[in-house]
Amino acid sequence: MVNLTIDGRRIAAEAGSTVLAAAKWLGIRIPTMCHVPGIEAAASCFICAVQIEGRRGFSPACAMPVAEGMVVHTATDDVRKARRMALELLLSDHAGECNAPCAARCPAGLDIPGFVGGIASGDTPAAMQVISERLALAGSLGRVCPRLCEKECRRCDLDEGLTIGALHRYVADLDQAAPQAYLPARAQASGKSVGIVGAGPAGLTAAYYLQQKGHACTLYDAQPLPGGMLRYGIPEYRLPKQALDSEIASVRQLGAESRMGKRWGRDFTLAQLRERHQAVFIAIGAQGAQGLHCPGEDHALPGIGFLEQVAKGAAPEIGRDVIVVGGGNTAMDCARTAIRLSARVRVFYRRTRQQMPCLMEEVEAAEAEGVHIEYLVAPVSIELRGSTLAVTCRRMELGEPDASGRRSPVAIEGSEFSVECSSVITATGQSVERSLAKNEGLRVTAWGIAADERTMAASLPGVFAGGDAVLGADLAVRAVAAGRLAAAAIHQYITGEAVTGEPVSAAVTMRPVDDEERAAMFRSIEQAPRVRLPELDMESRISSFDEVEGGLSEADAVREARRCMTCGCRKADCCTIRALATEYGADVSRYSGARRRFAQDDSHPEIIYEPGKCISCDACVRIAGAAGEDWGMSMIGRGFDVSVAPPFGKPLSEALAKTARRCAEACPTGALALRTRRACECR
Amino acid sequence: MKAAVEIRVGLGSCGVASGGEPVRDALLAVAAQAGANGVVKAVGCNGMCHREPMVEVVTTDGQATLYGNVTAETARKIAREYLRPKGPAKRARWMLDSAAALINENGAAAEPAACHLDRRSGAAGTYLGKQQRIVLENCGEVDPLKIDDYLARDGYRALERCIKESTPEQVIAAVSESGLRGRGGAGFPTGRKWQLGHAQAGDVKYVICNGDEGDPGAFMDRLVLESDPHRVLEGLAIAAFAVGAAEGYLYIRAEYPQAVRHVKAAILQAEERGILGANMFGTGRSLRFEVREGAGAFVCGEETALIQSLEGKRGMPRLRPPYPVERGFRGKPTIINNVETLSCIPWILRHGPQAFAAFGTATSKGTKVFALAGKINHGGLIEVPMGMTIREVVEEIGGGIKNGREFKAVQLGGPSGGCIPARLAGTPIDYDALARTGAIMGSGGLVVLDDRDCMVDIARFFLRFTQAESCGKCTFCRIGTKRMLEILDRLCEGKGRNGDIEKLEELADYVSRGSLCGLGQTAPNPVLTTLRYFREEYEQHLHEKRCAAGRCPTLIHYRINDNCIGCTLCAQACPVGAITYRPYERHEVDDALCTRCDMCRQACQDEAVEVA
Ligand SMILES: Cc1cc2nc3c(=O)[nH]c(=O)nc-3n(C[C@H](O)[C@H](O)[C@H](O)COP(=O)(O)OP(=O)(O)OC[C@H]3O[C@@H](n4cnc5c(N)ncnc54)[C@H](O)[C@@H]3O)c2cc1C
Ligand SMILES: Cc1cc2nc3c(=O)[nH]c(=O)nc-3n(C[C@H](O)[C@H](O)[C@H](O)COP(=O)(O)O)c2cc1C
Ligand code: SF4
Ligand code: SF4
Ligand code: SF4
Repeated sequence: MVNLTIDGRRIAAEAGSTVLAAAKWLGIRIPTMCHVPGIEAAASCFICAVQIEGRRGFSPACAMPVAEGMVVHTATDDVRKARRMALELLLSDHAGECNAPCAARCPAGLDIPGFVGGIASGDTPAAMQVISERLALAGSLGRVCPRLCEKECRRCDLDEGLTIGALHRYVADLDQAAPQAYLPARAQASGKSVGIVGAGPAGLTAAYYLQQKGHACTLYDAQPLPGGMLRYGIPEYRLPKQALDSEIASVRQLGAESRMGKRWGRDFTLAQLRERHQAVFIAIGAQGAQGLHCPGEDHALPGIGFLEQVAKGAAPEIGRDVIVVGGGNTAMDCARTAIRLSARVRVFYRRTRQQMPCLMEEVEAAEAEGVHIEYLVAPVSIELRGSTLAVTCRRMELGEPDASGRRSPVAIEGSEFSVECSSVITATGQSVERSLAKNEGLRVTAWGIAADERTMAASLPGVFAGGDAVLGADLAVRAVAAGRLAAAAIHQYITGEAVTGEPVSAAVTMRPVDDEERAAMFRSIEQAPRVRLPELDMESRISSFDEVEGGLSEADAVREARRCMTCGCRKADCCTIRALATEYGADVSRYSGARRRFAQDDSHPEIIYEPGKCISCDACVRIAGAAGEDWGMSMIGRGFDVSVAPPFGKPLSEALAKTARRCAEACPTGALALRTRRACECR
Repeated sequence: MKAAVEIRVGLGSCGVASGGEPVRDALLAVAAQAGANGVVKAVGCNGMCHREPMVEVVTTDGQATLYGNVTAETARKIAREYLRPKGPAKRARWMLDSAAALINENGAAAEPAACHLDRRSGAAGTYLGKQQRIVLENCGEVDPLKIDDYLARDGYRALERCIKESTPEQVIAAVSESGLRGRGGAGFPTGRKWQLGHAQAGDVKYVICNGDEGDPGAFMDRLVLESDPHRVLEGLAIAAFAVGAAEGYLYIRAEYPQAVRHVKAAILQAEERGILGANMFGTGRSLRFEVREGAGAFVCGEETALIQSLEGKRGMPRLRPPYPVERGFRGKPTIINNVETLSCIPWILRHGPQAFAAFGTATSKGTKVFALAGKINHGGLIEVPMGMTIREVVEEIGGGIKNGREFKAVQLGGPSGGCIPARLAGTPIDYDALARTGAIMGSGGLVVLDDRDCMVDIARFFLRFTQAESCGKCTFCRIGTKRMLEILDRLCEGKGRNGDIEKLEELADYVSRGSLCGLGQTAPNPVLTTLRYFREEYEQHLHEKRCAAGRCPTLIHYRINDNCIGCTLCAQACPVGAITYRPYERHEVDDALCTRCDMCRQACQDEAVEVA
């Protein structure tokens, strides 16, 4: 027996055993990647690095034999840094993406290939379950979300991106139509309660996830009905109230209570809520309308107020000739709503079409419905002339780029002109009611309430904030993401855990992808156009508030789902290097530089080999060698370009005839993986 | 003039490459005419590679006269001067022939006197005079293919005495007392290594001679293997005797075909004479040697990788411990020594350990062979006593910096070594003193740099080599060095980013501590030493996008100054037409077209082309 000390603890180990084994007997965990129990150590990855007194540098614990009097340190800052750096270096040379590019772009991190796979295989309940892990209000979002994900879809490089939004709308609609809509499991009541100010998407989502954790939520909202801007901003023809209501019903069913018609600052204070509840989430949105700041602005209708009144069934009198000022989504909604109220509509925007802060689809839809948009025009004054309004405008031109790089409009001298109309609707931005927060001692930023971006924690203990209230007017999906993140942090807070927010796994991406890599990715994929969504005919569109965009038929949904290439890594959930990168807080792009190329060998019936993800750990080489494979795998080349492949260009199926599964399970990355996604049991 | 008893012609790889074979043929032809057939002898190199082809004439009085840069014609003249046929009739004929030959050749060939290298004075005098030859004592003097030549110089006497008169313990004690340390790079005391090998239990042990020599610019092992192969065999045989091995391997890189040939021939000869083989010196003791050719990977010189390679596997190092001396070739105790280390052994045992230890410093004994190269007047292979300073090597042996430029630094130890600035040129050749500068003794590359060498570029050159030669096993060595190299590339291209120098240092630190074998552990040395002594050059490259040495093509500009006399030479030399032809006017370089090829500067006779 040999006596040694590991992290200050003594142990007698058998001569010939390794430091790794000795540490294990002491219950000290040393991470490994290239180590395969029972097979000769390679000591290549250096993730098991430890320090041994009297020995220069780091030593690989997996191969280091114990020695009498040896003193080992396994967790010094230096050791941790070496491990982190090893991970960062390995991942700097990794041609892979943990998450599909679409999912990586989704602000809520929806597992897109996961739920789409459910549709493709005809299992929509499973798809619903996957969706609800990351999204509340999936049906509503499927209708209104700008779908940043679709533009990142890998298929954009082949034919057209997948229609992801329509697919989760399809799943959610189907679910709502079922006799019993999907309701996630609830933990036992915790006896704790959370006060939520604002029942918009952020507040509702927070309640959705907190209720699942067993915490009792009470939503306080100034409006008569919940939904926030989804109800009172976004018009019926884009998001029917009935669809929204059924989704909100799920939140209610989970047990959330609501106190409607209660306004913070009028009916209650934050201090009161903090007394009453263990935590408070503020999600009041950005509901203040920004004015025009010109003489006569009082004659104009604020856009969100106009939409709210329409939503409440009390459309104001706007006459037959409407001018909408602004170029964002709110402006388009106001214009298209006004068209449906039988007005002639002109939109005045002070910049150019390319600079409009809204979806092009919205602009095109508005134009198709007869809205006329004038660019580089700004109102300077409004006068009431009898029953009509006279609007004086100025032509603009684009000046020098400002600090943000955007070229700001400058007025052209002497370009004034005047137009008449029946009413002016302004949609020039929304603001957060920051004074409410400030008055109660919360820190604010220039555009909203100050909160941590991971935990949503605001500046008072137990107070969290998220959604438009923090970001300024933004997107519904970001509000939903904020609600979910806040729920995780609030859960940690009220159960006394460290408030670190939802765990985030390290993830590598693969940008830029070159032509050769693209060709490899699309090798077995056939071109197929994207499904077209049914649309209401123009006549009904402009004469009613009926929903314009229809849902997908089952056949279309399945066909579209099958276009998904299921990007992302087969081993995303059981990849050792990813788990360790997360554990060690590795910054995957710290050492970015030249990297290996994406390639895929799918010639083996059981496994797929992606050499771009190989970390040259040698595990498969040793496993195949020890098992007496005829060919096995071998290391080829030298220097940075070293690769692992079957020798002499043998096909993978011959190289790993006996040990494919074993190698795929031992491979610490997604390089060697079982064909079936997520079938791996290595974790 | 005394008659010649031996005319030696250098036919090592360097001699052959410089045209030594026609010289030999010329000598042989003249010797045949003179009826002195045995007099011409092909020898290896004596280290003055820059003077090859070399001819050395040993006369009846024992004097040796050296001629360098000899052509076939000059060789003919030399031979005629020293050879006199016996008998009056033949001699008369000889005189006539010689006169005719002289007329025919029209005196175009250099006179032998012009090629004469005086051993005692002048450049050759300081070059050779300051050296101390132990390892190279026979190089250039014996015919490597003739065992008798070696035997005539007391060859194999040390081995015979070991086997017949000594115990392994006594041999090990002598080697320990000599203070010999491994010349393969790490400097591990050879006596101690043998002691450890000797102490290992078991009947089967191996000895291995490491002749892989993969450092760019190093060729001392090749020279010894080519020029004096028996010496290496004798050293290895003594090692085998000391540790109790009956089998030995000489691992020689395949790029050294002459060395492989000579060593194989030497083994056969030694076996024929009963020196090696089944019955050494009639004692019944057996020792078999075999030559194995290395596949040419630098890392295969690392001892554990070498063993893997010998075993027929991919040459990849493994963790030590266990060291080869405990578990080596075929899992048995194995002693690996470098060619130069082994070459010291016969000398030590012939002259006694004290004689060896008389050279050198407290911790570094004997001599060291270096491949002296770079911006120096006389390069070549030199053997100097330990303790000599770098300045003596550069200025006296090397004859100072070429073209009178400024001595900037030496790069010592190749890709594992580092740069020592001129201001530390007083540092002695001593394992520990060199290590303190951040460089290493290494296996013997010594490159002299002048003020036109960019230190960032030098670091990049060596790192590029190690990066490409990494076996690819260790994360830090494989990827860390690549990221370091990318930073150096950026700096040299004027694309450095803020924080790059710090990143480089951080990577260097972890690469050296997080690699398994010497390759990765020492790969950062060229970067670390240049950062230590020439940090301002890195900063210039980064912040000012400037390369003061005028080396990095994207950072420099060619300009023509007032010295221009309008001779148009530069315009004629420029291969891309970046200089317009304007006779009698001052010329100008079009920076956009200029490819920084330096042709104009070399063409100008008036120092009018500047690089900035
Ligand atoms: C016209 C319009 C169109 C839009 N179109 C889209 C779109 O197509 N796609 C998209 O992604 N996003 C769109 N948005 C943005 C999106 O609606 C918002 O980003 C999202 O609703 C923000 O959610 P939230 O929960 O943070 O805030 P809100 O939805 O604004 O909800 C805030 C809630 O807090 C309540 N509240 C406010 N103040 C108080 C108080 N003092 N006391 C009590 N309750 C209070 C409000 O009544 C409201 O219910 C649009 C917004 C508008 C205005
Ligand atoms: C990358 C690398 C390359 C090496 N190359 C050689 C070599 O070419 N020749 C050599 O003798 N030693 C080389 N060595 C050193 C050997 O590992 C070993 O230390 C040496 O052969 C031992 O002999 P010595 O004690 O006589 O020096 C190398 C080491 C490393 C790390
Ligand atoms: S193909 Fe599927 S998984 Fe890949 S990016 Fe598109 S939607 Fe996402
Ligand atoms: S493919 Fe083989 S060598 Fe590469 S990471 Fe996986 S197990 Fe290691
Ligand atoms: S340090 Fe470099 S050369 Fe040495 S074993 Fe590791 S990867 Fe191979």
